[in-house]
Amino acid sequence: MTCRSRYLNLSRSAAAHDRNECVGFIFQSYNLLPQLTALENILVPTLPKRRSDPRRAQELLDAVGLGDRGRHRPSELSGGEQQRVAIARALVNDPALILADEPAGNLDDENAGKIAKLLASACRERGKTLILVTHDRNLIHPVDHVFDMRAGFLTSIESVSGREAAYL
Amino acid sequence: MHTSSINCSVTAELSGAGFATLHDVYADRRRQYAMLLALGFSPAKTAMIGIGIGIAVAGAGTALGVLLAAACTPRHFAMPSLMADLGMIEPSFTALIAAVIIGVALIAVALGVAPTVWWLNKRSVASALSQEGR
Repeated sequence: MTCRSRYLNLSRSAAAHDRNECVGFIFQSYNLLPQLTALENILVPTLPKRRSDPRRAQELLDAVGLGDRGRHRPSELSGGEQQRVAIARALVNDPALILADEPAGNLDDENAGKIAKLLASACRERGKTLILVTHDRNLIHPVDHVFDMRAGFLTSIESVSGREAAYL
Repeated sequence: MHTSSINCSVTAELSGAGFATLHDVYADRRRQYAMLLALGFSPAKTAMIGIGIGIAVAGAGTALGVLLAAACTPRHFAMPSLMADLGMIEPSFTALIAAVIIGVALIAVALGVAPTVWWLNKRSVASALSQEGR
């Protein structure tokens, strides 16, 4: 795997640095730090670079529709709200790539659809590459390409916008 | 016999509860450290955070213990049983005792943090998060 023309076959420390700079992660179980507020959670990825910018964090919080919830801790937020905070956290370092692992896996259908759309639009507006892993085919509408995997093997590639498909 | 059985049962129950609580605390901390690694903190920085928290907790506990001991210690006390013949003993708090207390606290921190640091360095971040740190 390469990022900004550099191979990511690095030491654990260098790999951590590149993860911080190039990749934004969104997890199924949100993985927010329970001791911190929503705003502080968004700022966590900026700490290794010592470039914390609370104003940018607040802007991202506004962008995901939680502008007035910055002082709340994860335990005071619903699942959908926690995942929105996680989306803002993934975007705070302006990474080129966002990896989302079942981002709506713990949410009901309504919230799952909202989160998928928010995630796709947030990435599209900022020119990010989004790789979204999901079992739910209803969530794939906002994306451009669908790579279908079964039992660990790639079985088809589908271009959603052009409706082109290749079966492998 | 009956009393000792009850005592054994209570001890076993308390030990089990204590172990379960500590296990959950450790699992939770490990998951949080794995989370920090995933977000781009270096393993060294993550270990330093753990050691820092450990030293802060041990330091606070030691300071609290010293304050309580200073507040509650009687000015004079007689040793019971076999040492009673030695007469009255003046309790004292010397530099050596302070060093021993600090040393014990630091050893406790090292023993508490070592398994977490070892676990974080031996396992991948992905496996740490996928198993939720357990």
